[in-house]
Amino acid sequence: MSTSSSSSKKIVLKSADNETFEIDEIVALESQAIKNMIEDECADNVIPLGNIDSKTLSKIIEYCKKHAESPKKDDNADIDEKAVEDLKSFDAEFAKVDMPLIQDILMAANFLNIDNLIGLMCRTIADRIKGKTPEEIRKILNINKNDLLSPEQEAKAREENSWAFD
Amino acid sequence: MKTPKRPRYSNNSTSNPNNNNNNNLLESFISNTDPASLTTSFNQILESQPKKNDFIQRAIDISSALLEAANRSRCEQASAHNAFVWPFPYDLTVKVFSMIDTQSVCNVAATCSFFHKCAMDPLCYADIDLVTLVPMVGFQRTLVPKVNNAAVSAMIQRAGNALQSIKLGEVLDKFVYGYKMPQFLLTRSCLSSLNGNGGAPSLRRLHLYNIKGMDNTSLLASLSVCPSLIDLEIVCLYVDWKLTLEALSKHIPLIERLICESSSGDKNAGLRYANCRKFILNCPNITTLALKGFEMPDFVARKLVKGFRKLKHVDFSNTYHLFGSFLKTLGTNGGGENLEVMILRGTRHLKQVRVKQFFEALLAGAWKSLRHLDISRTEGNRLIRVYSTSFIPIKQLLQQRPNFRLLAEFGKSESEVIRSDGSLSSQSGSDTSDSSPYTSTSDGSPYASTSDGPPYTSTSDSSSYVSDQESGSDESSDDVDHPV
Repeated sequence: MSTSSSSSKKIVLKSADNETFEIDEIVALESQAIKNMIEDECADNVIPLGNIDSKTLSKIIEYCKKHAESPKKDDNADIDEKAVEDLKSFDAEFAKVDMPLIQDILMAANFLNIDNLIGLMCRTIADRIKGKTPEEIRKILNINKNDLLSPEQEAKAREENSWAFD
Repeated sequence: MKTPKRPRYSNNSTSNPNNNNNNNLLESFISNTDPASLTTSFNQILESQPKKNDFIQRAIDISSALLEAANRSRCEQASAHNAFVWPFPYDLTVKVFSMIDTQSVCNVAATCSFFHKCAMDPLCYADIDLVTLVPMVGFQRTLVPKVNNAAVSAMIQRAGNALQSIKLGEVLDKFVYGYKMPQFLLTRSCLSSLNGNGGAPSLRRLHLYNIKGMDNTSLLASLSVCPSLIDLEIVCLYVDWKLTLEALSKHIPLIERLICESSSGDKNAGLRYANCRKFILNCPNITTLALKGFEMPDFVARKLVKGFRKLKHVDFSNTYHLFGSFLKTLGTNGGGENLEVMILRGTRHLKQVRVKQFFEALLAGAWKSLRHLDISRTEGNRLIRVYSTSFIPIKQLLQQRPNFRLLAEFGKSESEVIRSDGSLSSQSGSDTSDSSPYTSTSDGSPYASTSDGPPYTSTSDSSSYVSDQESGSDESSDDVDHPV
């Protein structure tokens, strides 16, 4: 893959806190939303992302860079098994962040429409609440105490699924 | 009584003039009352009351009703506010929940009201997994499954047309020889809700483990409404296998993966070619076939392996009356060209001379794709088969096919055991290696085999069954191993 040639087109993203990131166009194209903007020619030199802060945006760019560099599945049938493994371990490492950042990344990935990243973040959240009690889930996801089910609702939920509780 | 009795502070009908009055009163009371001066006011009014106790009681009743109403409303308001704490919309939330197991979905549903709503989405129940893994201590189950018919029905109904897979039953965490599964909460009608509303057209995987109450009628009724099934596992059910195979050939032509394991002591677990003929004819897509614990003559095994042209994984573990001549016939007459994995664990009648012929066929270039062969014993099987390396050309084969994985008990003397990588080792090797090909190669379940044991016997075990004896008795009965 020859993505890092200096001649390739650059895109500049601007975060909510006015930090700018210059990236190769091919990296930006990982985002379906940005791709659409570019194709519709409604993207200026700088694309402002008013709802994504710089910390989240740099994580997302890190992800897109890695995924843009590795060969796509539909490129050819016999892709390197090593490349697949490499990408897998990158994803696993990438997801090792705290819950607020995961939520920020998922929110941004959803906005930018980056399918793989949405899937990865959803899976990460799913893995963390798997096999946990309702109380533990509230803690992990920081569900506000005020948001609890009303006593009737909670009793109903427990009764419906009584087999699942101890 | 002329009028039905109503709760004192009911507010269900706003058209009631009494109620309107109530609302106005309450509104001005809440808006205008200063909480700080409430005690003083209350005491002053109380002074002028003729029935002081009644008045106090009424004040308590009203204020507790008000408190309850306010608390409930706060909950409802909070669930609207929930979107702030949990930032994701319904769709994304459901996507997360669709990735967790069924029990966790039920836990999530009791977490908060927004989650409760999301956790009722059909997509959260596309893959219903209600298998209970039961830890065993000796002959005692340390846990009794709580999943009952009603729970299964509820999940199936929630899934609706999104239903993709169902896994039900109970699996012991280790093989306990001779242990008889007791009946538990699931009965014959546990899948009956599949039959309503036009069946389960989207169901692709059905795995049933140790459901003692399941009988033929109900199993066949369920199979007949699942035309898209590609993956079926039936482990230790007391059903008639002939009828089951017939139902497969009739209703489930797309099936690709079939795992059947008969319970020990099942009298009906004999397979005849007549039962399999239609199955082979009508279900040509089979790539994985496991028929474990059956009585299966070589003739039937040969027809199966030869008949299913796409067959990649075959498992005839713990079969009776399988002597191995099907291996020879396949080797010379063709069949099973796509085989990658063959498991013949604990097939107590398998003969060393047949294994030898099989290896010779392999060396001569048959079964090009075969890369995994398991002819080891199973746990609890008292017959320990030990093959002789001088008789079976194992070393030559591993030289020719370095990636070939072989699981077997080899040994000539006390110190010689062959490991799957082909190296000779003086240590007993009850370590390493996943012995179930399903888990690694297809996306099979971890419950695939209930009788997993360490693939390598220890040398002390094998020493008492030296190969000379084995091969000797094999030679004598060489040509009479074909009762059909």
